[in-house]
Amino acid sequence: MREKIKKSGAERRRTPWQVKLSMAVMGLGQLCYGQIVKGLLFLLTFAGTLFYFITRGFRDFVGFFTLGTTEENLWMGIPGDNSLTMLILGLFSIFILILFLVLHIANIKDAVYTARQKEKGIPAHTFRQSLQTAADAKFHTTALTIPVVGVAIFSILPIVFMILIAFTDLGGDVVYPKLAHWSLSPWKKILSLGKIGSTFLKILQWNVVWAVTSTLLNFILGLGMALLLSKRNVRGSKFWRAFPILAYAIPGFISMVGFKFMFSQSGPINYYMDRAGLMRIFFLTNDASAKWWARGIGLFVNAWITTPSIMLMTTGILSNINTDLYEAASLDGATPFQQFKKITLPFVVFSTTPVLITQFVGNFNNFGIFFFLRNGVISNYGNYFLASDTDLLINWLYKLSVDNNYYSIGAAISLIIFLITAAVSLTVYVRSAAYKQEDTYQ
Amino acid sequence: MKKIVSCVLVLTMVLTMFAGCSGDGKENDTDTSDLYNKVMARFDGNLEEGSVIKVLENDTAIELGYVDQLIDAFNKAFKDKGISAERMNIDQYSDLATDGPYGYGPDVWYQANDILMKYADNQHILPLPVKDMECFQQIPESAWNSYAKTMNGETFYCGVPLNVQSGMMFYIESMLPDGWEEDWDVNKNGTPDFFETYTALYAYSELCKEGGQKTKYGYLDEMVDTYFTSGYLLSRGAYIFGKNGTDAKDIGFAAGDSVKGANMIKQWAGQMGNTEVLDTAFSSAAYQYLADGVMLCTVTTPDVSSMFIRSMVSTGKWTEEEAKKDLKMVTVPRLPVSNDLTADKWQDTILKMDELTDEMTMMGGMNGYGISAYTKCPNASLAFVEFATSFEQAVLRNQYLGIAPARADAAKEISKTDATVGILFDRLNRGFISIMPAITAIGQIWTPTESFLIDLATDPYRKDRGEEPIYETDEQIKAGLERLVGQIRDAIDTLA
Amino acid sequence: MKKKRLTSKRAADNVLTYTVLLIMAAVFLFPCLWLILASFSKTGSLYDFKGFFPRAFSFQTFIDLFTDDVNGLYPYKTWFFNTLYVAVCSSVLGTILVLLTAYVMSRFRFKGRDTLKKTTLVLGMFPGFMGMTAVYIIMTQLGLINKLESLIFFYAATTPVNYMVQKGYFDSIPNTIFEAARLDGATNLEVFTKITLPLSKPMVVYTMLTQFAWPWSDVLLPKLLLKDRNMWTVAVGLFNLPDTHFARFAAGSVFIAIPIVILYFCLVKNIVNGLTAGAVKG
Repeated sequence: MREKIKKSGAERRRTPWQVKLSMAVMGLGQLCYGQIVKGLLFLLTFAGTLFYFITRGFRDFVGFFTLGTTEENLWMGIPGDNSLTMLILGLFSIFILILFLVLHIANIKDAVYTARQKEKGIPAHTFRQSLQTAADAKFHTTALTIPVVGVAIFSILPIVFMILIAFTDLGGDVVYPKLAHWSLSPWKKILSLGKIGSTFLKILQWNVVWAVTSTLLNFILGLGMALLLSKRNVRGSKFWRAFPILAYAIPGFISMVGFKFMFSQSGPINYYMDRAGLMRIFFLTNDASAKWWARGIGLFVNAWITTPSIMLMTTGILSNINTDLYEAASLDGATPFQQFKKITLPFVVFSTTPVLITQFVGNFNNFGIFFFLRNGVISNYGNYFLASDTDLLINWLYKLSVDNNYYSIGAAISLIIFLITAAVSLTVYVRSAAYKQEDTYQ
Repeated sequence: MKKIVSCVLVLTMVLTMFAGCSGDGKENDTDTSDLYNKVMARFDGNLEEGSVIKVLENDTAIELGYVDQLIDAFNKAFKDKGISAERMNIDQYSDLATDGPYGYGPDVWYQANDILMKYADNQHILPLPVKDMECFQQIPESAWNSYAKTMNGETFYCGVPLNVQSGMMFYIESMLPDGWEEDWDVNKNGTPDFFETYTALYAYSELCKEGGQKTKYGYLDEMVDTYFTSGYLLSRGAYIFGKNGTDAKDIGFAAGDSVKGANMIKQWAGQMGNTEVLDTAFSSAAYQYLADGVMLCTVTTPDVSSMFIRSMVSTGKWTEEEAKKDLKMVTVPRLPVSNDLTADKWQDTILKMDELTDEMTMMGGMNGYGISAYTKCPNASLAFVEFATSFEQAVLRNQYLGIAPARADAAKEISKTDATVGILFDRLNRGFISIMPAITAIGQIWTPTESFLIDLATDPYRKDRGEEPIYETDEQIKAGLERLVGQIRDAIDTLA
Repeated sequence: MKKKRLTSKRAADNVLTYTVLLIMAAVFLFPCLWLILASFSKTGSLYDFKGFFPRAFSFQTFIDLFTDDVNGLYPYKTWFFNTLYVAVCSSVLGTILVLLTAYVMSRFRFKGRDTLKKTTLVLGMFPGFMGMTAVYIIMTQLGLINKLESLIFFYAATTPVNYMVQKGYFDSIPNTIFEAARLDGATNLEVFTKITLPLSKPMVVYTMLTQFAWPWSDVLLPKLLLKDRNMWTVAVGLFNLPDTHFARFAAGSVFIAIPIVILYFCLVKNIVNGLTAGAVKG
C-alpha cells in the first residue's frame, strides 16, 4: 500500500501542471497544450454534465433511492412523485455519472499522453491528427461508441430497470399515483405461495420440452428440405424453393393470426370435419382435450415460420462441403445414408452449433406463437396459476405482469428464468467449438 | 383480436412528468362537504376559451357516422363560446393510466362503466358535479350508482350514464316459422312463445334440430361469454362482488343456488349440439349466422344491431331499409323455476307463466362519459358531456345506433315508435339488470369465468368424444364454481 | 438386368422425391393461398365462408382498403407509408450500426472485448416486453411518443446486440486481404469502407432485409408507443381489426406481403450467402 502511494507521489512530482488542470476540469489541460478544438469539446462535455447535475441530475439521483416522497392527488390537484419515472431517471443519472467518469479518465489519459509526447519533443496532436487517430488506431473505440450508447439506453437500461423492479413492491394495488418502495416482498410471496412454485415447475417442464422439440424439429425439417432440394434428380429446385421462401417472407404475425382462424371452432378445418359428419375438434379452445392439439399446432406453426430460414442456411452450408469427400466415399462403397451420416451431418451440425444455440434460446422465449394462437386462455383445470397449459414461461410472465398488473412478481420470476437460461447458454456457448476456435481461426 | 389488444393496452404502469416539486398534503384533514367543494373547485363554469376538447368515442359509433354528427353539432352550438371538440383517433380501449400522465389521453371518454370506473380508484378520471346537471333527474339512481365512488364518506359520481347495455334477444321476423300465430302463441299475446320462456325456446330449438324449419338451429349463443351467460348464475343467487359490488374480497359466483343456474347453461350447451358456441369468437360469427338463417335467435347487446343489419344486407336478401324493419329485439325469455329446461310442458310455462317461471337477471353495463383527470379544460369537457347526454343527442344516438338510452324522457320518446327500446330501461328500473361493479377488481373476473364457462359448456360433449364428463353432479359443479372463485381471488388479492 | 433394376429404383426414387416435394409445396402454399382467397371475399366476414372458400368473390376489399378508411378508423394507406418510412430508416441506420459492431468484434482484439461478447449474448435472453415499460418512459422523456422516430431509434439502437451472424461473415474473409491493405497505408476506417463492405455485399443485403422486414411484423411495441391511428404501422392496424373485417385483414396482409416476397425472391442468393457464412462462424 505504502509503496503504491509513494509511487504515485513520485509520479505526481513529474506531473505537469497541464495534466493537473485536466484532472480538475476536463479539457483545460488540452487547451493549455494548444489543442483548442479537443479542449473545447472536453470542456463542453464537462460543463454539460455539471449543468445536468445541477439542474436535475442530482435530484434524479436522490429520487432513485427514495422513489418519491409525496403522493399525487389528482382530484385535489396536489402534484406528487411518480415512482416509476423516478426509478428510471435515477438510473439514467447513474449511467451519466459512470459515463462522465469514463470520459474524465480518458481526458486525463489524453493529457498524460500529450505530456509524454511533449517530453519527447513531439508537438501535441492537432485536431485533424486526433480525428485521424479516432478513425484509425482507435477505430474500435470510435466505431463502438454509438452502438454501445444505443444499446445502453434502449436495451441495458430497460433490463436493469426490470431487475430493479423485482426489488420493489410495485404492482397490484401499488401503481401510480401510489408510491412504490424498495422491498423484498415479491421474493417473499414467491417463496411463500406454493401455487406459484408448482405452476412454475409445470410450465418450465413444458417449456423445456417445447424448446428442445421445436429446435430439433425445425432443424431436421429444414435440413431435410435442403437435402431434398439439392438432390440430383430434382429439376427446377429454384421453383420448389420458392414455396418455403414465400412462408419466410410473410410477416410472422400474419401467419400466426391466419392459422389461429384456420383452426378455430368456426374455421375451415372444423367446417370440413362437420361436413364429413365428424365432430369438430377442439384445436385451440380452452379445454383439456385441446392441450396437446394446441401444443402440436404451436409446433407446426413455429416450424412453418422457421424452417424456411434453416433450409436456406443449410443449403448454403451443404454447398460448402468438399465434393471430393463424397466421391471418395462412393468409391469406398458407402451408401448414400452412410455418406449422410458420416460426412453431411457432422459437418452441418458442427457448422451450425451457434445457430442452434440461438434457435434454442429463441424458442425457449418464443412469445409470439401462443400469444397469437391462444391468448386469454387460463386453464380451469390442472391447477395452473393464471396460466394456460400451453403457456411458455414468457407467456405466463406476460399474464402476470401485464394482464394482471403484478409487475414486481413478474420481474422477480423473469429474473429467475433469466439466470437459468443465461447460465446454461453461456456454459454451452463457451464450451462450443466455434467459440474455442475463434482465435486460432485467423 | 380486440381482446388481445386490450391486454396489450393495459401494458404499462403510469408515469408523470418529472415535475417533482412537492405540495403539502394538509388538505386531507378537511371535513367532507369541504372535500366535495375542493374536489369540484375546478368546475367553476368558466369555459376555457380556445380549448379543443379531445373526445374518444366508440368504434361502432364512429363507423356509423354518429360521432361526426355529434361533434359537428357541438361545434356549431359552441362556436360563439370559443370552444370546440375534435374526435380523438386512438384505440377505444386505450389505457388512460398510461396515456394521461403524459398528456396523450382524451379529455372526454365514452366507455362502459366498468372500464371507466377502473380508473376511478386511482383518480385518473374526475368526479363530476352531476347534481347540477340537467340530466340528473332523468336518469335512474341505479344507473348513477354504476358510476359512484365513495371517498371519506362522501359519494362522488365519476361519469354520466348515457345508455343501458344488457342482453336482448335478437331475431329476424321473416325467419319465424310459418303459422307461428297458431302453433306458438298459446296465450295469444302476439309474441312468439319461444321468446317468452326458455322452456318454450328449448322445445322449439329441439324442433329445429329435427329439420324442416326455416333455420337449422333455434337458439344459438356464445355460451362461454361471461357477460351474457352469467345471467343464469345471477338469477339463481350468485353475485359478482359483495356489498353491492364494492367488496372485492367477497366473490359470489358460487353463492346461493348458482349450481342450478350452471345446470341450465350445461343443458343449453348440450341442446345446441354445435361446438362453435364454445368459442369466444362466436359472437362475431353470430351476425352472419343470423342473417344466413343458421339460427333463429341469439342474445347480445342492442349497440351491435347495426352489425346484424350489415350482415343481412351483405347476403343480398335485404336492403338496408328492409333489414332494419325485419330485425327484431325482445327482452330475454323467462327462466323455469324448476331449473330444468325440459321438466315442464312448454305450453304450461306460457299459460302458468307466473307460477312456473321467473324473470331472468342479466349482467349489464352502463355506457357513459367520463372526464380525464389530466384534462386542461374541465369546464369545456363538462359542457361537451352535458351536450352529448342531452335529450336530443340521446334520441339521435338511438336512431344511429339502436342503443337504449338511460334518460327516462329519451326512453319514453323512443318507445312511442319502438316499444322494444323501453324494455331495458324498464328492466333496469325493476332491478333485473345487474350492473357491473364499478371497482378495479372487475377486470379480473373475465378470463377465469370465461375459462370456467368453456369447461362447463364443453361437458355435454365430453362423452361423445370418449372423455369423462367432469361436471355431472351438482357437487362437481359446485366444486368447479368454488375453484373459479379461488382463481378470481388469486388474480385479485393473493399477490397484491 | 442390373441396369433395369437401377432404373426402376431411380423411378421409385423420383416418384418419392416429387411426392415429398409436392407435399412440401402444398403445406407452404396453402395457407398463403387461403389468405389471398379470403381477401377477395365479398362480405368480408370470416364466418361467411364455405370451408376455405368465401361464398362470393369481389375485388371491392382491395379498393376499400385504400379508398374507404371507415371514418378514419382504418387508414391503411397511411399505415403503409408509416411502416415503409420506419422500415427504410431503421434498416439503414440499424445496418450501419450492426455492421460496425460486427466488424470491430471480428477484427479487433481489445480490452473488454470478451466481456462485451458475453454481455451481448446474455442480453438477448431477456424477455423483451418486460423492458417495454422502461422504453415507454424513456420515450416520453425524449418526447418521442406518437412519433415514428421512436420506433426507428429503438429498432436501430437495439440491433447491434444481434451482431453474431454478421461477425461470422467478417470472420470468413481471409485476414491477408486486410493486412495487405494496411501495408498499403489504408487506415482502419478505409479498410472498413473500401474493402470490407464491398466484399460483404451479400451480408449487407441480408442484414438490411431482415431489418427492413421486422417493422412489418412487430405489434406490441408500436402499439404502446404510437397512439394515434394515423401514426400506426400496418401490423398494429391489421392486428386491431375486428373479426368481422377479416377480408380487410387478409387484403391488407396480402398487400404488404407482396413487396416483401418479391424482395426476398430477388435477393435470395444474398440471403443464402449471408445466412450460411454467418452460421458457419457465428
